[in-house]
Amino acid sequence: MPSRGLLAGALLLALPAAAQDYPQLAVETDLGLYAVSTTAASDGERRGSSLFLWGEIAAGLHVAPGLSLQGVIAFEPIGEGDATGGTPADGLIGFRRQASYLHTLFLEWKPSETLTLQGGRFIAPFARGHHDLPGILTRIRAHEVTMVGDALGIGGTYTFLSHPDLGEHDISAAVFTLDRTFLSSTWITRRRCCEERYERFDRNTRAQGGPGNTGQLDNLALALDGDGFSWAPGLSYHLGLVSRGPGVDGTAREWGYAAALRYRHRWTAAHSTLLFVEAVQFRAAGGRPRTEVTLLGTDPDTGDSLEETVETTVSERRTFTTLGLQHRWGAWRGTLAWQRDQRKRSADTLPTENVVEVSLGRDLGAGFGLDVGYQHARYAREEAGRLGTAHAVLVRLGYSGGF
Amino acid sequence: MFRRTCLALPALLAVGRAAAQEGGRVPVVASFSILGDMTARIGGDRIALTVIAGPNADAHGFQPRPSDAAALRGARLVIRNGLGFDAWIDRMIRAAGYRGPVVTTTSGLTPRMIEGNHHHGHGHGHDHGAGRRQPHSVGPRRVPDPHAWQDLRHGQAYVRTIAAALAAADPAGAALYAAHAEAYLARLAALDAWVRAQIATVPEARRRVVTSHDAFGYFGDAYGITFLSPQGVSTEAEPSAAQVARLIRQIREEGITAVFLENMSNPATLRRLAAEAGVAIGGRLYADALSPPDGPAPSYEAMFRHNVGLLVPAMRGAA
Repeated sequence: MPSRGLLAGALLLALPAAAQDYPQLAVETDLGLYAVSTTAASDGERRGSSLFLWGEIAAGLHVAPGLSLQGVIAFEPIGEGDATGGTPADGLIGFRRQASYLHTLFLEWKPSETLTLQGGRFIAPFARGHHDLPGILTRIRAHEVTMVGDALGIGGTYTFLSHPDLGEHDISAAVFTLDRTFLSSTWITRRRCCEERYERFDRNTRAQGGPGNTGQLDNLALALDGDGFSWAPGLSYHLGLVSRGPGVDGTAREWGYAAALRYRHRWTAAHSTLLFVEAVQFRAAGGRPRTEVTLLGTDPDTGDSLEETVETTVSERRTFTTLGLQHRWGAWRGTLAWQRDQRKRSADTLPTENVVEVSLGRDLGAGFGLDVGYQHARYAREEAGRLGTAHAVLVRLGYSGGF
Repeated sequence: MFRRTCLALPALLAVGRAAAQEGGRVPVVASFSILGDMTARIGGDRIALTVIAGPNADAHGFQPRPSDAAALRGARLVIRNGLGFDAWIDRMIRAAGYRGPVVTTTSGLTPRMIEGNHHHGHGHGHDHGAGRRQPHSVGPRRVPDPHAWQDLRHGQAYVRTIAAALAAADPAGAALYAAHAEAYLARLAALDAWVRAQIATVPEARRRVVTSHDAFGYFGDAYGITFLSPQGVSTEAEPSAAQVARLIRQIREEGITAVFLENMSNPATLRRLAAEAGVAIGGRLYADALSPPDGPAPSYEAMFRHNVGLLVPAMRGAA
């Protein structure tokens, strides 16, 4: 009832201007055609080349000043690892498991310059690198680990401090549940829950379980963001917290913490350097799921080897870190980034993955840009439980524009 | 440290009160120079006026200093343009804890809509910048043009709004403000008629002007001139090479002779454009700010006389 009142208030406030230039639609595209060519890898199936589309088309239907319906359609391959190279097995694969889905669809109301309220399906205000990390695959890796999407609920952002010296600071909050409605459906490539090697399923279901999948608004995200310091122009920070409720499948509450800093130093009008760092940690990652582990031992009576499978809880602390530097000069950019994915587990252990990516790019005009890079990865070999090494050449032809 | 602050506090409060009562005059703050000039004409000696973005200061993306916020603390009235032009003063108001009346001079006007510098939160266009994370949404494509004062009829509406706000803030001076406003409105109406008469001397086909920033939309609508610009509405936006090339072709094809700089804009792009199109720059127009007192446009009225005095002969060209 209160939300209906708020909406009516927003419409009334907006009416005088609404007649003039509304509704109006604004669309923005950020899409990339990616090519990952793995020249050498410890696992043969990783070698080869893959081609895929990754990015989004975002739209805002503005029905009145400050009141809009916002939506984002995402494009990405939904097989596990496909968006970072996949398993071309010495061949060339193109658009394998390529899919699209509705990333967000929410009503946004800005009752004042300092307040933004959202309701619908959105991305929780936790972490930031998943949306705009420089580099070629850096953003995709962050997207896969740190983004808290499929959030159905309400949220808002309030600018609580705006000071000539101390800068501007926002606090964001959201309460949500995992979206299990038809809006969570995947298009083009669809796989029913809970097929292995797929990141997304046809539609989120109660059966897939996991923290946050509760059907109630018992998930929470909080964030603090700021910039505009007079003593450090070009500096911004992000602090985030997310808590996802105990799943209906018995999984525990999961907690996540994020901290990010960015600093751009302008040397001249044409030269600037951006330093970016972000650390995200999930505690009780996955909600301490149950898993089967195999115990090896010896029978004390007979001396025979014994193999026993027992079900246990896997407690995991996952820390995803990004550190990078980008230098821009005119239309050119050079990026060096390091990412680390550490998964400390009580059972079923995994080694820590490290990736270093270096790339050179240029704006080509008309919204197009080309980036070419090299990646050295130390990745976890799931079957062997040890680290493998892979070398890859990366290319991204991107388009960014709107109408 | 705390003791020192406590000792200093009464002195600061005394300074604030002194500012608020400066010689018995009403302390008023205006966001930028054009509003400051209008307010000074109406308020006269009865007000103590502080203008935050002064002569030749670019109010687009203005960066206030802490001392600017201090001026707000003792104010009885704050006057701003609105429509996103001087949004920074809203932040100053919050920073200063100012609770008094704020009058928006564009209230009640029907703004013309223009292509905005629309952006998607998180710095969409994915320039991977250093700005803080923003809510993930796409802003409106068309936004209100804030330069409403460039139409003298709107300027007269500004005057009425400011006079009413001054009278509300200082009822004892209402009669004086009304008298000043009436005289000022009469001058602006006469100026409006003079501008129309001057523009009428230019053949309609030649009423095309290139300027370095798109601040003359209202002027063009009111007086029948087409303004072309290689830049968006904000002086912060840089035109692309393609936009500049398109404009050069248009200048050549249409034989445009009126190419002008503005007092606020980076002149490099327009100089390059004029050189490549083979036309001379006709001078410097005043759009978003007045000149200092010894310049050619120290007041709102002088700004119109100066701009029209440059525009009309330049548009006529060899005609």
